[in-house]
Amino acid sequence: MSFVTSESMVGGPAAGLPPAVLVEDVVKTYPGTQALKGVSLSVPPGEFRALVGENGSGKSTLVGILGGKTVADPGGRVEVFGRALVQGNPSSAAHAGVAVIHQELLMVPQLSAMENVFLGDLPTRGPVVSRRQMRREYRRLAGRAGIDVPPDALAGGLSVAQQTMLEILRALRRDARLVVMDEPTVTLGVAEREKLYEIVAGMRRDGVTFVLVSHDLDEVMRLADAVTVFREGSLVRTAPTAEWTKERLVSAMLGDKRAGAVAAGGAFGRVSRALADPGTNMSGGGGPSPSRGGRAPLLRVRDVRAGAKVRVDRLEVAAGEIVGLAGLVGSGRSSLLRAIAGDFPRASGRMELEAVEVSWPKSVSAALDLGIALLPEDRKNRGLVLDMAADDNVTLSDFAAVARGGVLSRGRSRARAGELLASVEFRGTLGGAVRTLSGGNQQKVMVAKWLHRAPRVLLIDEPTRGIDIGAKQDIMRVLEELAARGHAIVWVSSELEEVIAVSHRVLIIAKGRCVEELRGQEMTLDRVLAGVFEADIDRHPDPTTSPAP
Amino acid sequence: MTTTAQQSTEPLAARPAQRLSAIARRTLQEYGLVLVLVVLVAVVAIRQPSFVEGQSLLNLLEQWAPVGIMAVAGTYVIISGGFDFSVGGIFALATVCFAGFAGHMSVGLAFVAALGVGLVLGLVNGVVITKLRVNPFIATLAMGQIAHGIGLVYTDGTPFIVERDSFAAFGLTEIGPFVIPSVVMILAFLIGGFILSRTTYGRSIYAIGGNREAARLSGIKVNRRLITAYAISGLAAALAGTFMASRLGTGQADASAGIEFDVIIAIVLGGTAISGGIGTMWRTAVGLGLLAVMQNGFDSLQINPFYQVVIKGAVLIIAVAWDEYTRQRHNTTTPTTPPQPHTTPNPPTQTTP
Repeated sequence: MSFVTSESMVGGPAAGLPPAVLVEDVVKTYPGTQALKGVSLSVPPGEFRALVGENGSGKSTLVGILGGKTVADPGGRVEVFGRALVQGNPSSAAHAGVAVIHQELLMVPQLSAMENVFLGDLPTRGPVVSRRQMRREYRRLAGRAGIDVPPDALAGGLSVAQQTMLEILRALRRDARLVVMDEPTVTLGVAEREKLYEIVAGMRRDGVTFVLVSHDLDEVMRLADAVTVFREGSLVRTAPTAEWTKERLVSAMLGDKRAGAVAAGGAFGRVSRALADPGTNMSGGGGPSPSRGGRAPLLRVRDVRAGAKVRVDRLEVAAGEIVGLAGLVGSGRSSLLRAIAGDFPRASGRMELEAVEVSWPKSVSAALDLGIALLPEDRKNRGLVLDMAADDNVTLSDFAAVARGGVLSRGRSRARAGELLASVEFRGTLGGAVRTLSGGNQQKVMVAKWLHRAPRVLLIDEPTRGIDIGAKQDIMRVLEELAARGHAIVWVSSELEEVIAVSHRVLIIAKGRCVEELRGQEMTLDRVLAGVFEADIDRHPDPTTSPAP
Repeated sequence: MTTTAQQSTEPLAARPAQRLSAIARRTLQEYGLVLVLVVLVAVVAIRQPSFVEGQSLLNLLEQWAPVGIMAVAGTYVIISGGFDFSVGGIFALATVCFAGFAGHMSVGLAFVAALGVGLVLGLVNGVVITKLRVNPFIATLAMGQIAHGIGLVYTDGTPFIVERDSFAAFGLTEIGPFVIPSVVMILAFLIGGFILSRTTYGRSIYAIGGNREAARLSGIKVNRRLITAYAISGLAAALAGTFMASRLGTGQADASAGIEFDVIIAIVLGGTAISGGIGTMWRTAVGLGLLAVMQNGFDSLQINPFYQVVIKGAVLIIAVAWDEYTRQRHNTTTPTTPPQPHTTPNPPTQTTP
């Protein structure tokens, strides 16, 4: 047990009251990685604290611990309003006055708005649920918060914003004194965000403490009293918001990685040709990008519309080129890939293959017929047939190629799969069910599957998520080899260093739009991060002069 | 990560006894069902030696041919992750159609027309399930009712009786020691098994049942494959129905009521997962064998037939529960938490057929 570090005293404890949150020396180890490496912080009651950091920096793990979802390693201390929190017990956390609003909202879509708010604790008269009492109480809560969601509307039919409001009502109902929000506004529109901010302000006047995890630095700067920056499982710094700027936050999140990343970007990036003025690139997709070697790009899409969010005016990729899409979770990166692969219902746009206009693929098999394949992010649910062997999963993309007259040749199938798997440095067993393989090997099976069919354009979503570092390097090497063989690759990764290291160009996606294109020496971690977080670092001529805390 | 496979096999190689027991366990898991069948046959044979005489076995084969033919097609449907409850209704309707049509046209033509009815109803099943997205259980339950109802309307409730020799010939002509239905069932198992395990069609069915989304993203035309499976199931039910009609010389709208349960019990007893993606044709054959021995063997042991029904139900529950249990045991050893390292040594114990 160590003493409370100076970090935890920022803002000073309110006189006589225990802190709303007190975390000391908390460590959380997952097999193979340490998500939290001894974090200590305290949040005084009534404060609005924001937690920021890159993906995987440990903020969400901390939220999980506060909400009673995650159990920290033994040894640390977690207190809420001066009382030790029973870990791994969500109802005990709720009892202690903690309400967590997760990014994935917990709604029963078939039940009414009102019932969702009171779920698990319905007002009753004797053994019977009293709908009248429930309605009265709902009206009172909704009135207090200024929320106008009709009590009898089915939750499934409500917008995400309205469902978020219901989560807030749930917190109010339980008289939560500490509300922890994990990315609450990612899916909200501007007006809806304002509404949420208003409600939050009202609750703050009632003395509720807030902890917010957000990637939206504008939001953080606007709402928070103090900001804590996480990096790689450790707490970097806590300071009052007045001491932060967006640039300083990004620098703190980034730490000493920035120098190395610049070098990596330069080493892998293509020789930059006459760079388009970054100013023109800022407007949705930018001006015409000169295609490599004067050839028409292999794939060009324009005016892509998918759902309410994705509005990408232009994206092109040449044979042998790797284009990385960088953006936050929920920015529309994956939706864009799915739209191009014919996997997004009612997506629209215009598509050219080798400068010939083709009709927009309405289905996955239509896209495959055009030579466009998608490697989905969710290996287990969308990528692999888990009970099938690795070789069968590989040849799945084109059974006909290893069959004669509809009859599979087991020998050819094995040989073909074995050869392709070896080329992606697969290190598992060929015959066993892929369920038993490691994440890295499963990912390699998915890549080998598409090598078998050999589509011209590969759209790859988060190929390195949840796999170990060695497998990551294998995958990135394979991406480069694929490009060298003439495939056109568009890929997404939340690991921005990877995107920079492997891609020839990086498109920044924010709020469903392509806001910037970086190539060659422009592809630095600073600029990518700045673009992704929509901070203004790129206005500074030299990133190293931006003020560091 | 790179050593997962070695880690799991090396210690086993080091201790031959342990390795042997692992192999024994795996073999038991894979072929235990055959053992159960052998033991069951042996028990019945000891008490009633006539049960395993040639003629008695041939009779058994003939009696179970309709269920067997439907079970072959049903195995496709269930492995694809679907369900076909309508085979009972289509079966009965086919007996009626075959017998009824045979009164107006040549027996051969009536046979083809009856098969056509089954095929069309199966196609409708497939379209309703894939295009209209009706749950397979409900869609086929309803289709079974519809088929049954059409049969009742057509016959007005009284069976059609056909006395033409050529009508009976379909079910009674012998090829070697076997009657035609038995031969067709054996061929159905052989060809059906081959297609399931060795052709692009069969492997797509496994992929669709194992992970429909992955199959779709791999470019497999999922709906087309599923419609085919249901159409074949309808066709098989009609074929089984015509054989039954021919054998009995009648077409009856409530022929063999509940036969769809026998079909599903045979498939599931064999270990085909109702959730799809897992199963093989030989297992369905063994499941059918178990069912047949239970029913007929118990007859020859003079067990009260009413108890037999109870036993059949209980055995089905035990079989599925056992399957779930063994499956859960290796699923829980698969890592599920997000940051996934490769520290879980996980010997591939499950073999895909």
